[in-house]
Amino acid sequence: MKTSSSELKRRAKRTLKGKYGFCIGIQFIECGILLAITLVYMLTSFSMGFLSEPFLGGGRSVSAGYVVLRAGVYISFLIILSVYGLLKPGVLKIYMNLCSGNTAKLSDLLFAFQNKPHRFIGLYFINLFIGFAWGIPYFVVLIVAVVTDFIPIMVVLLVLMYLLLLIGNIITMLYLSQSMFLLIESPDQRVFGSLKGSADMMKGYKGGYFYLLMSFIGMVVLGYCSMGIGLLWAIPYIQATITEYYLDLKERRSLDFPGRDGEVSFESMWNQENQ
Amino acid sequence: MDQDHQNDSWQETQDWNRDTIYKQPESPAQSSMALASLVMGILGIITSCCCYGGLIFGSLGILFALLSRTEDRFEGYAKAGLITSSIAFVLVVLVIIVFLGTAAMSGLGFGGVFS
Repeated sequence: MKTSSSELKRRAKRTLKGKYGFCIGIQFIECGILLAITLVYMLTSFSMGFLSEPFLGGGRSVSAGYVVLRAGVYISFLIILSVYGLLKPGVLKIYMNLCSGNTAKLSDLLFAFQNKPHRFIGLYFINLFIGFAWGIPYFVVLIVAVVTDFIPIMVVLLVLMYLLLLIGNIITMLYLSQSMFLLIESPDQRVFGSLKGSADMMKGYKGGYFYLLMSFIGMVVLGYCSMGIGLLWAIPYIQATITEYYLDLKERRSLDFPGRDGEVSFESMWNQENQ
Repeated sequence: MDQDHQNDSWQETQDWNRDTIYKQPESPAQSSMALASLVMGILGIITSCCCYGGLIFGSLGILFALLSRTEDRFEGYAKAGLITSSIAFVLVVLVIIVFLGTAAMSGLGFGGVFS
């Protein structure tokens, strides 16, 4: 039987009762780390004089040192993205511990750094790439529209491509929404395996998940009305509800397909025992 | 005499029962978030004359009231917080309308767009 979204939300609120301080602290730490890295990146780029033209060549003379420094800027940008991609599983791990009744520790934030970080980075970049790939037709049409001075047919095509970008991204996001949870539960799993597992899990549940996500709009609007202060409480609540959804979905699937939970590798069992 | 004795014993039994059995009904524990919602609602009403205060406190009050609801029903404080925060929100909207109306009227007083 399907668990209603209001029941999931109630469970999330019960889980978070008395733990909002911890969750807000986690948010501050995560944002602080990202802000510090971004600031270092910006200051370094600025001091090198790249911030004015970080992506376009400009009229500079191309020397070996210049190329190396520019490559350094791009690599540090990728490092920032990677750190974000590694912190996100840590946050999810904390919420998974909270929702399943285990003790959540601050050290869980570094979960992805300790457990096959390359897989988590890979999953994060694949997600980013898929989102970007849906935008390619839109950018192509946009360039053609600019060249043809926005003739009516190009404007119509532009709108259609924008809709494709939007709908395509939403559907893909719904399919792949559980992949990070799956990878956290068994980090020895392959990245594409977790993507496939998430797509399998979400079959028949995409509408419900979309409805659940849409139901948070009011709360996010209230958060923005309070100049972002309310988001400190709203984000842990949303995160906990999403985690409750995953745990509920997993439980339902284990009832539907009892054999699947038995496919646990030695490595994940070893990790669980040593935690 | 016998009647008096019976009354006394009945009274004693009643007193004994009251002492031993009767307990002060425990008020259900209210969550701190519900209390925060009420405080935010009151602060919202007070500061609703200055738009941002009412908006910030009002929306925080509504948010806290919604987050404090862990059972089917709202707690007492949460219900009060929700009402006061909603009043704060409405007051803010009214203040904004009055402010905009006054600004428009003063603009018209100077001749509006035709000056």
